[in-house]
Amino acid sequence: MTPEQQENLRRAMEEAALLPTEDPMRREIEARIVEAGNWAEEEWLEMLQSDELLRLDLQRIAIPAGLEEKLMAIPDEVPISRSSRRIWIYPVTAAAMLLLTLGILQLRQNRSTELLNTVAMLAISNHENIDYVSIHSDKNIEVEQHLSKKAGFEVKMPALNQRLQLKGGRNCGLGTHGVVFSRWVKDDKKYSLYQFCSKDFGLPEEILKRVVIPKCPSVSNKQCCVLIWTEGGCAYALVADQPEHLEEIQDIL
Amino acid sequence: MKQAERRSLYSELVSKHATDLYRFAYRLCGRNDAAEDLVQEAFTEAWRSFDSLREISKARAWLFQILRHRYSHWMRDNSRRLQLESGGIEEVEYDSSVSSPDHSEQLSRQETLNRALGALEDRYKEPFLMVFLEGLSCKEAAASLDIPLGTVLSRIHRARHFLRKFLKKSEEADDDINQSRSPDTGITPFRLGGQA
Repeated sequence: MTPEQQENLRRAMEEAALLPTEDPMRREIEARIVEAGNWAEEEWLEMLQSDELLRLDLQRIAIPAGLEEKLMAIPDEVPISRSSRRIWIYPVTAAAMLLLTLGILQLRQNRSTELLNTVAMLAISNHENIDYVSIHSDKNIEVEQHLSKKAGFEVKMPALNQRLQLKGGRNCGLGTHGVVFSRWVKDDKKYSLYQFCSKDFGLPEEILKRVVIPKCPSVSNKQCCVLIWTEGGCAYALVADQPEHLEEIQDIL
Repeated sequence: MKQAERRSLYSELVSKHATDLYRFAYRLCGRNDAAEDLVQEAFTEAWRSFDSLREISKARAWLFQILRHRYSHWMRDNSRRLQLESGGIEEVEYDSSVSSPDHSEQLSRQETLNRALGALEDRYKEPFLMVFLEGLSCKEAAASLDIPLGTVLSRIHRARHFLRKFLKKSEEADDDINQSRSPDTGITPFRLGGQA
């Protein structure tokens, strides 16, 4: 073995001594040591011994008296952990956010309910007071075409014909907004249908079908109620004189 | 984790690892007071951030990591770093001039080792102590320091080589001094006018 090879082996031995005994690299170097002969084995053992001595020397330190007691007292001196605080903060923040969101949703819902109530009252008022139509027809398409001319939106009659009979319609106003009115009847019961743009009344674009009975009683002392819903991008309010009248037709919508 | 459970676990960690952490801290900074402070800071941080300890089996590694982190802060605040940065591993050698008879009497092997470690740059000292004192494998030290295994092996090799050389020179200097002392008393004889 040349001096250069010996030096390389020494270097490899230094690194191998740092590896766990079962490490393949260490095993490989140990095999090379055995091959190299006595000098390498002696140096290897010396190196291991020297490392162990160093390890022991490093550990020979006097531990200060009372260190453990001081460390044990830390929990009493350090009040609350930051992490613990964080742990509490997260659910509390989440709960606050949830409450806030629910509050906003509730406010929106309340606002939405109020608006629906307003639309319902206007529709009932119109239903009770105005009974005339500008076109008499029982054909949806004719009424739609006629009323579309003045309406600012596409007029589409919902499929009420299965239960009700169309009598005609006209363009009118609910409050300050233009709407399309159509008269429907069944037996001796009359129904008023209003089609409008939901955004004109500040209502959401999608309204799930719901019956609204306004808090304010109608002038005729009837128990008028209104079914409000959206369908195909249009908003509708169907007024009936009695709640049970609406029940008959709700299922077809 | 409940407060009682947390306290119990904390006490267990103190009993098991405080001594090892102190040794490590002392070998890092070379001062009793600073080592004690570092260990206290490490345990305070550990107590505060207990919830970040995901696996109890890794508590020892976690504590050592906190300690090393505290040490890096300590070093940043300590002017000693500036002195160390001016001298690399190759440049720092054992200075035999400090081994005057009086001085060498005070220097035990432990103190010499401490001085040698003090002269080592952190990039050599940390992986060396992690393997030789903390008991990590080289692979674990490499992962913890986020450097390649080869670099860890090389740095430890250089640190070890430097320490051995430093200790050897120190012993040789002590031997020279002892030889010039009286064999009976071990005290350097008083020479008056060049006569013993």
